[in-house]
Amino acid sequence: MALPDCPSADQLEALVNGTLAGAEAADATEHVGGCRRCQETLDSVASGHWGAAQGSALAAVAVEDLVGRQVATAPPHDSAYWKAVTNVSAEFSHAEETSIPDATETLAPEAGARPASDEDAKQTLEATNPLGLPFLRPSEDPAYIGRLHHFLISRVIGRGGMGIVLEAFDTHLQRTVAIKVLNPEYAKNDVARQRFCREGRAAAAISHEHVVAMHQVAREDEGEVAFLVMQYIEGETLDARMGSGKALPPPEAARIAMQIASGLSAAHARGMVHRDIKPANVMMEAGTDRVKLTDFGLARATDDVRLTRTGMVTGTPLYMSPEQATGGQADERSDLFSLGAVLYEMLTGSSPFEAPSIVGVMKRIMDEVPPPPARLNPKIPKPLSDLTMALLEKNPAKRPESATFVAETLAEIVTQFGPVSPLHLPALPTSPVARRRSGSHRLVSQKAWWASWAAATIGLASLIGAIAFSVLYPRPAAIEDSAPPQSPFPSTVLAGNPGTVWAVDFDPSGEKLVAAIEDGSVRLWDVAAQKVVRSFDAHRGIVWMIQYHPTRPLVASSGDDGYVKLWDAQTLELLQEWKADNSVRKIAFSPDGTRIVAGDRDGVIHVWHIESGQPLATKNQPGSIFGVDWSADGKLIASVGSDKIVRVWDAETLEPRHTLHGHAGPIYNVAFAPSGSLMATVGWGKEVHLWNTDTGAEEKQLVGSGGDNWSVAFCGEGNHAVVAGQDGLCRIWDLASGDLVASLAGHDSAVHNVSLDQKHHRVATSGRDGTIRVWDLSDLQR
Amino acid sequence: MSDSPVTRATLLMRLRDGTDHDAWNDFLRLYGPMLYRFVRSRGLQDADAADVVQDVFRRVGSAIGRLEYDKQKGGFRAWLFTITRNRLATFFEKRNRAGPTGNDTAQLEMLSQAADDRNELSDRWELEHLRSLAATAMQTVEENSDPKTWSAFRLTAVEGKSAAEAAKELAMSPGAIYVAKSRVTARLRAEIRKLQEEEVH
Repeated sequence: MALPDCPSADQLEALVNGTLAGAEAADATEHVGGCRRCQETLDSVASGHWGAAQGSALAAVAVEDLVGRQVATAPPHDSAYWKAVTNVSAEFSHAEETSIPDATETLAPEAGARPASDEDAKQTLEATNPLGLPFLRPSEDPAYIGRLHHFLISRVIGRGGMGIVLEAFDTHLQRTVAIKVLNPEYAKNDVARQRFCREGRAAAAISHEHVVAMHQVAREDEGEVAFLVMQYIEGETLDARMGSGKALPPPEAARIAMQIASGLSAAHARGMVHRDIKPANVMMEAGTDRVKLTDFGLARATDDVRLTRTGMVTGTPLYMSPEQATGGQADERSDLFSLGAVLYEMLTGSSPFEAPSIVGVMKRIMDEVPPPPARLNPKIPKPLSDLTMALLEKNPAKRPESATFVAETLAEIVTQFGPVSPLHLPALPTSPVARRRSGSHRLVSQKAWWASWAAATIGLASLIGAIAFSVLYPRPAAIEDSAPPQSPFPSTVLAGNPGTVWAVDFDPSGEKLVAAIEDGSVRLWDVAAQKVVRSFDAHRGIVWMIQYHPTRPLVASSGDDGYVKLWDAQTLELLQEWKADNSVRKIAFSPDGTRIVAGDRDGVIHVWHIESGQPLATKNQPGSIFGVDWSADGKLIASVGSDKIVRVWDAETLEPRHTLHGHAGPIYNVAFAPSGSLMATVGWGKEVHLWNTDTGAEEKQLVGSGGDNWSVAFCGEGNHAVVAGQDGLCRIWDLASGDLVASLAGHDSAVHNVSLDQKHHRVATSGRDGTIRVWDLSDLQR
Repeated sequence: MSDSPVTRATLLMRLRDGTDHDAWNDFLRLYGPMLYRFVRSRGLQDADAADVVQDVFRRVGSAIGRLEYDKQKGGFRAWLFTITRNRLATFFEKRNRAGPTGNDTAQLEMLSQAADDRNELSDRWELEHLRSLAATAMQTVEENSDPKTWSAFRLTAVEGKSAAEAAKELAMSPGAIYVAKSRVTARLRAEIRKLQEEEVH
């Protein structure tokens, strides 16, 4: 097609601009008509790139793509868009007619109908505020210094370069939280604000016991103050702990570093880099002394601003990696360097790169290698000193290969110091993804070197096995034994649920579990990945109970709203709902899966037919019902509640079979054994009661609980009872001997519910601390 | 009313004024269609898209008083983009709770990236904006073009006809059609650039 004598590019340009002479133009025009190549050249000369769109994907947009009828037309005339425009138009002119000066106020009632908008509409800033917190609105309660959305602010915890940290009470979820408000100085900077919110959102994805849980990120648009709502940690920072420049005892330093590394490994597994590991960002929880990392990724939000304004990073560079000090990219390995600097300071009492000026510090970070801690203090074990120095390698590629590896190594070192509370051993991500990630971009030789180093110094035998267990045996002596006779149970923590988890249930495969949460939501977790697969609002108010159907892919929930709902386990579509007279604490399926029983706060037992939805039977009992269960043979239903009496009913007719006395207080839960005639009840008081449902006699009491018990379940063979305790422990009894076999420790407060994964010998526990823990009890079964 | 650059440039000020009757209508006319197209491009049905666009309009109405004057160029557009992203995120979150689809999750993920990140979302936003500028620019260019040249452009670029079809309809040579189209395109480009330079800020 192309003719041999195409016009030159200049000629074509002149043709477009109309500056080509007559005859030449005619020839060229004639030529273009038949030459595909010149047509294309002409197009590109004419459209060039579209102004400001330089460098973007828009540069190559064809004119047809801008003005073509297919792409650039107004909405079709029958579109709902026009109605929307009419609505808005009317509202705006109305606003003008009523001549209220601020459109915000006029639109507020309209916007109030949509919950997401109302907070933005009530943007009334208080002019003066003695605390310099202009974003707070006055609180009606004088106990609080102000209010921010539905949070009552009780005090200022601290002010940092980035923002102000407040202690607040969440009036919706009725809990204390910490709120971090972006420094108003940065709040005006869109980039900083967006970064702040983005990093906050990213941090919200990390749920780990050594990372401060991020509950909420406030909206960042339209002048609204940006803030993050976080778990409130009572305690002090590591900065305060180290205070006077005194070194910490080496076991303590190693333990803290191990938990920092553990928290980092969870973040790194999600591709998040902290960027600002320093003692002030390490919280030490009062009571448990557990490490909680805070301010993930937030350094990034303010660095841009500082850099652009002063050309220089300000703040404390003491823990900064060489690559950060030189303005390079921070990655996971930068966090490891900073961890090394913190560990060094914990061990020796002084920061490795201290200098009188910022520039001096940065110079030292870049050029100097501090003396190994073991040389300064011979009490510091060599492996710990070596690890510290390895973390402080200038070259990122030479540092240990991952936070997980560092945590594992430190776990070994910590156990070398002698007995250690299992509470302090960290949970590490069990996801294989995390391991693959961390290894893939490291030098193989380095990895090999580290592995051999670890093997040589501390023994690799139980390196992997030793992580992530937390179990307390009933006899404390067992812990003191140098070689514990029993193997501990590893646990996986599913944290960051938005409130108390009242119930939990494994799906039939054991791969997922559902959780009933006090904020009205149900979460579906992938256990191995430690990830929330789904979360949806199931009930108004608390979700009390959640349970999979015994045979079909269905899941049932019950709530404080009095509803019992049946969901498709795959799509989580609502299939059926029943309304009881009042809040439903417990439900149970019949073993054949055809019926469901519910007990409500008014003391009414409801039995419904699953398929038809029809009510089959109801029965009243005094007080409130807290627990119901259906016997394995399908013939009996048991109910327990506030009247301290265990009642056993005929499942068909709800005629009473047994009325069992023996509990001294309210009874919280009842469970039938998977076979035979055994039934267990727990509640107020430390005893677990075991009953014979044939005779109605009390067979046994299991003693050893530390307090009240919330829930009881039988293992698949019916030879163990698993009990959730108010004291935060989940206890396992051998039913034959009546002995307490194990206590699973890890929850911060009351354990409310347990679920058993028979196939993999695992127990899931859920609790008031908002976490679910999955315990591997394979060793117990053997 | 003509969409002179001045109209666009002063629109923000007029909107902030709060008593300017026509400012809102101009805003709706200038930005409404592009918002609708952009929202539709996220996979929303007509009714849902209309709802989201209506939400965006209301938010602009309630928040425009708080937008600062001294923003760099494109500030208003960036601001509008933020509002739109947030409305969309709210929409997808709400729908997600009822049971997410693959598209929703992907959209949410994209929406949660910062506005300054280049991605398909922001590219699409810029494209829709460019289209809206082009629509304005076309009026000016048409007024200043010879009708036959304009027709050649309209038939090919707007109505999507081939050069041969247009040539037949207008009794021009195919080469003349190509040249006419490229001349109008070049003028359009110049006009769009002018609009971009005087863009509301």
